[in-house]
Amino acid sequence: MEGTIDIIKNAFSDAWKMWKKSGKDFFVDLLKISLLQWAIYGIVTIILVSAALILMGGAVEGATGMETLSLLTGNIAFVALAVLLQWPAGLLLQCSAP
Amino acid sequence: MASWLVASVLGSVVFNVVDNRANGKKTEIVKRFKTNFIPVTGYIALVIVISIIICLPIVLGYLFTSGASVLSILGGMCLFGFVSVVFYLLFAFLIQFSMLELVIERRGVVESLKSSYALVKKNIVTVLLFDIVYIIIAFGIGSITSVIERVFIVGIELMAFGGSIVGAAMGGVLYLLVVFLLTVASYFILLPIYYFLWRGLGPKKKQEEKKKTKRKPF
Repeated sequence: MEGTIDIIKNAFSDAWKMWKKSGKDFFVDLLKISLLQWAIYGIVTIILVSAALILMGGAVEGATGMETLSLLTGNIAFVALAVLLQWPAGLLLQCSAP
Repeated sequence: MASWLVASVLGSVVFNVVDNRANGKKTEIVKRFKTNFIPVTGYIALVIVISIIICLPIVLGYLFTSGASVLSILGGMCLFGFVSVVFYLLFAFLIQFSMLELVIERRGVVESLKSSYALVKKNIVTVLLFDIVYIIIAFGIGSITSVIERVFIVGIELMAFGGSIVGAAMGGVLYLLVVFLLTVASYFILLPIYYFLWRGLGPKKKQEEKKKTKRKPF
């Protein structure tokens, strides 16, 4: 049991040492990663919400028959394009490595 | 889905960051993202497949009670769902170090799962005790952050009800910034503790052994 508590205590004390030694740099690194993650989610959300708004706008206008069909097809294609665009975002991130 | 995957792979880089900072090194985030992309994608795919298999009892609950009333079906699904939850928790407990093994020790997808399983099995009491302490700390941090976030939400609601739309919008932006910083702060506090426990349990010993074998005899 003593060994168990020692291992846990060591984990906390090593973490404390790390925070004291390179806490600022570590925080900056985490900020960068989180910022990238949020940017990805943000861009995708904006694209998808825009697509949904266009779709809703089309429905509100009350277009019927072939107009509705063409509007829906166009909007679905737009959403599909938005989803597909997420891959280039990831690839861009990959290719920008030094 | 793709953005979620990209964000998850980026999330795996935090383990490299904590490892490098612990050893006084810098991390090239984009380079690490590139290196982690395929292994982490494979890892996520495998974990999803295993998770689906673990969740199969819920489907069994539905099949066993099919034809009965809606309440009976729900009851059956809950009963079998409980089994799934227990198995899922056990699975998560056993593979908790697998991501560290994957991105830091550069093991294969299956090997990292096996390695984590072996490490937890070998130190089951330590890991269980640590997890309890860790969950209490994480819960404490989560409670503090949710109180801070709630204060901002109430402020935004008051501004919106008071008719100050610009104020509410600015509050919204500020709220997002606070959530962002609190998320980073949670990572900042919790991640090193978790990392050093893992180091203390296994790989560190291996590294020390390697160092010992490399030393020249006097």
